[in-house]
Order: sequence, then C-alpha cells, then structure tokens
Amino acid sequence: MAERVGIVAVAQTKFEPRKWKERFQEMVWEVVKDVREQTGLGHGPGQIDNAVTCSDDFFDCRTISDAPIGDLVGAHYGPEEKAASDGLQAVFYAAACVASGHSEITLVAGHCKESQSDRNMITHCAFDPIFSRQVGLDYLNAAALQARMYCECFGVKPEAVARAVVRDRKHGLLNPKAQVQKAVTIEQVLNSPLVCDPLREMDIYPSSDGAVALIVAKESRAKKLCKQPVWILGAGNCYDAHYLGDRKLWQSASLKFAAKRAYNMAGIKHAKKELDLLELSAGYSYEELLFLEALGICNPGKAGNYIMSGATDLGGELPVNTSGGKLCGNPLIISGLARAAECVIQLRGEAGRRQVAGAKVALAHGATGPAGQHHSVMILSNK
Amino acid sequence: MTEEKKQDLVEISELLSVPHKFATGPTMGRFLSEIRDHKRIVANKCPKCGRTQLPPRIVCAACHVQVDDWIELAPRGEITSYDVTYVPTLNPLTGKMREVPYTTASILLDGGDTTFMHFLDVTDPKKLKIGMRCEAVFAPDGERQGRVTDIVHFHVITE
Repeated sequence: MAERVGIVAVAQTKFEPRKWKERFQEMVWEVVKDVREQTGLGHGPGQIDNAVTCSDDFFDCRTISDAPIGDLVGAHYGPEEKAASDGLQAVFYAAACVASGHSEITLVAGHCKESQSDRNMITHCAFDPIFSRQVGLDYLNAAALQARMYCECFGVKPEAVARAVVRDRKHGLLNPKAQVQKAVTIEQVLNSPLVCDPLREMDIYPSSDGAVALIVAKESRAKKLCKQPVWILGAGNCYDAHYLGDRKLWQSASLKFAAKRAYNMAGIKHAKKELDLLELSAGYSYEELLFLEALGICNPGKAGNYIMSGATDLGGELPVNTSGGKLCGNPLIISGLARAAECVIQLRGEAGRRQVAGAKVALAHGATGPAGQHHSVMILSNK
Repeated sequence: MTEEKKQDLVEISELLSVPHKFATGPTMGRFLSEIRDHKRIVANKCPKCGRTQLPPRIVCAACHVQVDDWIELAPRGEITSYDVTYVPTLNPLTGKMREVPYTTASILLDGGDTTFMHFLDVTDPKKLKIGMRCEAVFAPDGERQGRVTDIVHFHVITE
C-alpha cells in the first residue's frame, strides 16, 4: 500500500488590500523561505524535488503566470506545474504527485495580487465572450443572482446571512494574518451600502493581496521533517455546468459531489459528528450557508438557523472559518490554499487564541468560477 | 523583509488592450443569425434526454452526445432571479463605465430548460419579483449585428 501523504509546513503572508511595496515574486519568496526554514529543506533530489504552484494569468497580466516564479520554487532546471483553479487543487495535485511516487517532497506555492488589476473586469473574462460577456456578467453579478435565488427558494432571512459575516469578522480579530480586523453587528452588515442588490458591501470579500506556501511529503519523510504532520485523508473535486443558466443555483450540486468523494476516501460517514472544524471558501456571505448545506452539515435551507444558533462560532458545536475566512480577505485564487493552511495550524494546535480545543479532523474547501462552479474538498487530520 | 529605500519602490502602470476576433462556429452562429435575421431565439435539443440548451452547444453536457436538433423558444418567459448593480464597473467591451443602476436577470424562456442571462428594463428591485414575466425587445431591422445585444433588453410584462 502506498504511503500516506502529510503536510509538514505552512506559511502565509499577511493578507492586505494592496501590497504596494512588493512584487508578487517577493510575496512568494516570503512564504517559500518560511517553509524551507521550518523544514530545513532546499531544492533538488532528496530535498524538495517537485513544485506545484497556483496563480492566475489575468491577474498577473501574462500568459503562464508561473514562469516568473520558477526560480523561487526550485523550478530552475526542476519540475513544476501550475493549478489554474483554486489553490486547494494545487494541494490535491501535490498530494497526487507524492502518492504516485513521482515525488517525495513537493512544494506548493500560490499567490495573487488582486490590487494589480480590477477584479470585476478579470472575473468578467471568465465568461463566454460571445454569449455571456456581452450582457456584462462577472462573479459579483453571478453571486447576486445566486444569493437571491437561494434566499427566496428557502425563505432565508437576511439576518441569518449577515450572521455569517459577523462570525467570520469575530474570528478574523483573533487571526493576526487576517486582512480585515474589525468586528461588525448584524445591523451594520444589513445597513452597509448596496453594491449589487441583494449583496451589500459587507457581504462581499474585500480585494486582497497575498501568498501561501506549504510542503507535502510522503509519510516516511514527513515524520522526520516536523513533529506533527497533518495527513491528507481524502480529497474530491467537481465541476458544475459552464453556463450559469444550466445550473440550479439554489443548491450546489458540484460541492455535494466533491464532498462525497472526499468523505468516501477519508472514511467519513457522519460529517457533522466526525469533523472538528471547517474552513470554507465563501467569497460572499450567503455562500457560507449554501456551502454548509452542500457539505451535508445542514439540510437545504437550514444552515441559516444553525449559524444563528452560534454552533459555527469558535467554542460552538462545529466552528467554521476560525481564520476569519475569505470574507476577512484573501485573494480569489488562493482561498482554498489559505483554508488548508488554517486547518494545518489548527490540527497542530498552533492557532493560539482561536484554537479549537482538541481538533483532530478538519475540512478545507476551495471554490473557483462564477457562483461556486468548481469545488475542492480536502479532509485533514493529525491522527 | 529589510527596510526598503523609498526611491527603490517604483510603480509602473500599463493598459493592456489586446484585440480579439472570435469565430462563432455554426452552432453559436445559428443562434446569433436567427436573432439577427428573424428576431427568433433558438436552442438545440438533445436527441437522448430531450433537454434544450441555450445557448446551443455542440454536445449535450449530461448525455455526452452530439446535438443536431433545433427548437425555437418563445421570446418571452419567466424571471427566475435578478440583481441590480449600483456600483459602476468598466465595460471591457467598450472601455467605458457602465451606467448604473442596471438589472441582470436569469430568464427561463417558454419551451426552454436552461435560463438566459440578460438585462431587464426595470431597475427598482422593489418593483421586481421572481416569477414575473418578461419579453425580449429586439433592436430595429437593419441595426442587428448578430450579437446577444441585438436583444436590447427584456421588458417586464403583465399578462
């Protein structure tokens, strides 16, 4: 049987609205240097022997956006491949490289500087130029259409949606790497300016710059590289239809499928009982509810009540987004990577004031595409 | 990171404008030319599951078979969702800011299975409801160019 695959080091920059003092290469170097120092590893045979990166051509304004960071990740005369979707997919590819025997130790590095460009224009370009771009769709628009459909379908109250923002902001205060460090009330969320009705300013993740890196190793190496490797027990991913009009936007069929694959691989039968914490890539408030339902934690339309009850707060039954989540700010494409990093920090018991006591199993989630089109789910454990 | 000298931090702005020319191919092309020439909205229909696809596509995503049957949809239907944008964003097609507010809707045309995203002529969300009916407003004869925007917007109707 193949050896297990573990994460042995993680590092993330502070997420900021505009890192004007750094080029994206400097952001990447900060986190790569960090994970190398944590493990004492360099690059080459017997050390970090492979790299998987994650970045976006449009945000970086060049084709093959991984090319300019090759030297920073050991890909100068070395192997490297890029995940052009959410960063959690990069972890998945890295784990596959190690599990297959292609690599013993793989570096994962993701970066994105949203401040380099205009997020709405970039996400606009994710749509079909002939059919959908002509009518101005971008991720914000798609999310607003989905938010209305989901909330109307189940009669979800705006207060319940706002409560998810309140929770993430509260958790973000405890995470020094979180971009937004400001608590809000339900009333403040509901009175923030309308941007794209029904979504308001505080329902939407802020524009953000940052980088995340981690190192994945096969079991025999992992145990020697750190005191507490975090094992990848299962992973799954799934795409929904390309055209928004094909999708039943009040649910997330693709996340449900991705979760099922990950749960099966990890041997999870009752997610709500067996998971100790979840990190969700929700860029818009209502997604915090919708995604919990697709993951099987709540029945359709019921996540709002669950969140309102405080169950997903730190100290509650099943804490969600102890990092502050994407709503406290981290760039579009590396959200899943930031989620995985937080799970590792929690499972190593290094989360300080936001530590989930006795956490053993965590779920990291990544999403790409308009209205959560593609989903990645990963189950991580310290056992 | 070491303390940077201020004169070492330079910022460079660039406006990248890359011209593109997209061939529609015969499938999307038929959809667009029907709008241009006949003010008709057509979808294609999977020979296996019978599902209609708008815009028409080469294969049925669910059945993985080639789709060659065509069907005309009504130029009117039901609003299944809508949003109203208040903060202007740059329209990459024109290089100009979009006028706000504008309403984007998801519209299930009569006879169709997948929804059409387009603009609505009502921009006050209080006057809109899911389930309301709307109808395509086409650009005048001679002005249509074979684009989705040959439908200027959908007009909210009471039937």
